[in-house]
This record gives sequence, C-alpha cells and structure tokens, in this order.
Amino acid sequence: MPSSFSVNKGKISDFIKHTFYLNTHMNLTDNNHLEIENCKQILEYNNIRVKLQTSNMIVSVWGSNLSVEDYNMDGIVINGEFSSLEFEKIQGVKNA
Amino acid sequence: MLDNIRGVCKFRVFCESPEAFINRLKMSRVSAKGLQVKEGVLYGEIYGFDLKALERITKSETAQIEILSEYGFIFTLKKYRLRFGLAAGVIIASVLIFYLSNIALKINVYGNTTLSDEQIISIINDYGITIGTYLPNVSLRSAEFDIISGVKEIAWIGLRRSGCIVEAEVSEMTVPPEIVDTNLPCNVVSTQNAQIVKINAVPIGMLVPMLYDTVKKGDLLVSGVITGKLTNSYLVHAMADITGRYEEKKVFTQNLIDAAIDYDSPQRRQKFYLFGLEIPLYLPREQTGDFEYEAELSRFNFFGLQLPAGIINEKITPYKPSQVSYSLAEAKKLLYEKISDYEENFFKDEGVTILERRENFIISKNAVTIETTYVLESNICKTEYIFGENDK
Repeated sequence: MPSSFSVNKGKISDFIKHTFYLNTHMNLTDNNHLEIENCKQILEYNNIRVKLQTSNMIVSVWGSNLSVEDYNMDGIVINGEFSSLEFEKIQGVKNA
Repeated sequence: MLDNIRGVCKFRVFCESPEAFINRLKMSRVSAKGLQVKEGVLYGEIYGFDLKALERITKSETAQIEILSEYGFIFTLKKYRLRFGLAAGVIIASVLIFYLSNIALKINVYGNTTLSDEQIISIINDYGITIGTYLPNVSLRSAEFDIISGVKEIAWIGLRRSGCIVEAEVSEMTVPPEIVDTNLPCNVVSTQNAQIVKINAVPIGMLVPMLYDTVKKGDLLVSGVITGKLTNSYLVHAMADITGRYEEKKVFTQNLIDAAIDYDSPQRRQKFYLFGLEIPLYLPREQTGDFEYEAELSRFNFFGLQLPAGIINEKITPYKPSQVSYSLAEAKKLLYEKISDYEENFFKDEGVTILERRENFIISKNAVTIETTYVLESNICKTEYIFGENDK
C-alpha cells in the first residue's frame, strides 16, 4: 500500500482513484522523455514549457525543444530536454 | 511499414492558442505525433484517415492549416482516384487473372507409348475436359474413373491440375501379342487354279503335288496327316511356301459420258474462337446447295502457351453435279489410270508378280471396256484346319 493512500485511507474517492488507476502516473526517462497518464488538458504549450492538468494536480515541465506526442486516451508523451518539473495542487484536492 | 500503408501527413497550424487546438484534437480522438510549438505555430503529424477531422477542427477553431508533406499508400491512392482507366485496368486484370487461372488452357499428356497425345486429348475432351473448361466445375476424379472404365486402351489415367494446365498421366493397356496356334493340325490348300512353279519351303507336312503339276482352287498342297511306313499316322500343323502361276481376268469400263462435279470458286471467311465460343467475323447467311467445308483453327500463342482463343479459317467450296463427256483417247487414258491403280493396290502391295498382261478393247456406243487378262505368280498357300477351326 502506498503511504499516500494510508494517510487518506478514510476517503472513498481516493480509494476509487487508486483502485481504478485514476491517479496521475508518470514515467520519466532521463531528462528527455516523460509519459504522463490521466492528463486532462494542456493549459500552456510552447518550446520551453508544457503545463498540463491531470486528475489532481497541475504539472509544469520546463526545458527546451519540448514536443508532445500521442496525446490521446488521456495519456501524453513529452519529449525534449527537461530542466525542471513543477507540481501544483488544484484547489479543492488535498495531498496532490 | 504500417505508416506507409495508412499514410502519414505532416502539417502546421497557425492559430491563436495551440493548447486549445491540441485539446480539441484530443477530444476528437485524433492521434497526433511530434506536436511542437515553434514561434506560436503548431507542427505535428497525423495519420491519413484523421486528415478530415483535422480540417474540421481547423475550420471550427478559425485556424489556418498547411499540409507540409504526405506519404503512404492512402495518399497515393487518393492521387490516382480520378484515373478510372487505371482502376478499370486493375479490376479487369484481377478478374482475368482469377478466370484464366481457373480454366484449362493446356492439356499435357505423359506416359503414352502407342496412343498419340492428340488421341488421348480427344478422349479427355469426350469426358468434359477441354481447352476453356472452367475447372472448378469439373470433377477430375470422376473423369478419371469414367475414362478408366470406358476406354479399354487406357489401363489407368491420373488427372491433376497445375494452375491452368491439366496434366494427364496415362498408363496404357498392354496389348497381348497375336498368338499363332501352331499346334492345331491343318492342311495347306491352294487359293487359285494354278500351276506350281516353285516350291520354296515345306517345313512341316507332306507335299502332295509335284513341281509343275496343276492344281485347282482348294486342292490339297501339303497334307497335315503324315503316314509313315513303320509308324502310325499322326497329325501335324502343315506349313508351306509354294509359288503358283495362274491367270486372272478383270474388266475395266469407262463411260464416254460420265458424272462429274463442278466446283465454284471457294469462299473464305473467319470466325473468332474464344473458349469454345465461335463468333462469326462476317454477316451470317444461310449457305444453300451442296458445298465442301473445311475449317482450321489457329490458336493464339503466348510465349509458347496456346491460349483458348484464336481464329477459325473456313473454306466453303460450293459444287453441283454435272456431266462430262470424254473422247476415246481420254477414256482410254482414264482406263489405264484405273488399271494402274488396281495393279498397285491389289498386286504389287500383296506381293503378286505380273508376268503378262493381255488387253482386249471393246468400244461400244456409250463406253470403252478393256478386258484384261493377267498371268500372275504368287504364293498360293492357304491354311485349312482339319478339325473345322478355319474361322480362327
């Protein structure tokens, strides 16, 4: 059991999200390939920044020559040279 | 590989908000690759079948789209979509390939020794397998069975299909040799009223007449019943080669006014032959009167393979019966031709030597007749079975 779940074990919504894999899953390879599941929307997209909204947070990827692929079925692949990642909690969602 | 089939289209979109455009793509389930924003312009790749959806989104987002490149089978097909001749050619070629690979274009025969290829092909044709037959409609197994049971010259036949070629492997019936029964007792008798001029050989039997004796037709020449002085009588299969000299009369007649046939100039016409169908290349009209008909089929060749299509050359020669009158000299000339033919067929081919020919001309009002008397020499022996086996 992940620790985040143990903290919020009383909440049914977290349980459902966890059970049905509705959380934001990320797979980072080095600093140039990032796969994010359950991406809801692209909020900002340019050469140096991709800002995404997932189910429970906003993820900002900073870098250079960023490109987006396979943005379909709530999954997204970001390629490029990443310099930093930022996570921002969506208001109303705890422990993002 | 898969991209080459479904086609990939590279594009760029000029829009106010690339993010909104990408989100619209996602909502429309358009799979886009390599999306990149450079100086406010969105670059990317989509599959060929998503191009219409992309154009629709572009229109609704009031953006401008520019197709940078297209590759793949779908786009090639799209490029040639208005070339109906090409499509028709592909369809016709497909149909022709399917049809021609299912009809018999050639029949190959193997394993025959006495029967010719043409004879075997003719037999196979009689059982429903001809050039141009649609092979899926024919049962080769039942044809094999029918041929084996129906044609006594063929002991076994195997028919198999190799594409458009029918292969026939034949095993012929072994013909039993003619058995001369030399054990049955028999006499040798004369076939002519003749004088014996030469006794070539009497291997078995007892010679009855002597050299230069005269014999009648049916007289005993060599007896198959041998009676010894010290032994009992016993029967043998008499054999002999005895040459006799004899006369034979033959009458040849030629009418001075004889029936003849008047031939008109021949008409030539052609038909187109296609899978057994004969299409006239002329205006058909009924041929009246008597005529001789000849037809020859010339098949088209394709690299040595005879196709079931060709040209039938027909020759129609009309004729009508007429009468022809001959002069005496012409009649005699015709008579000598008849005599020459007769001698060639009945004497020379049978090993009969003509020693003398006497002719007696009889000229009547309507005909010229030659009474010919031949003096001939030939083998006059004939086997006659003692116990009534002469029908053998």
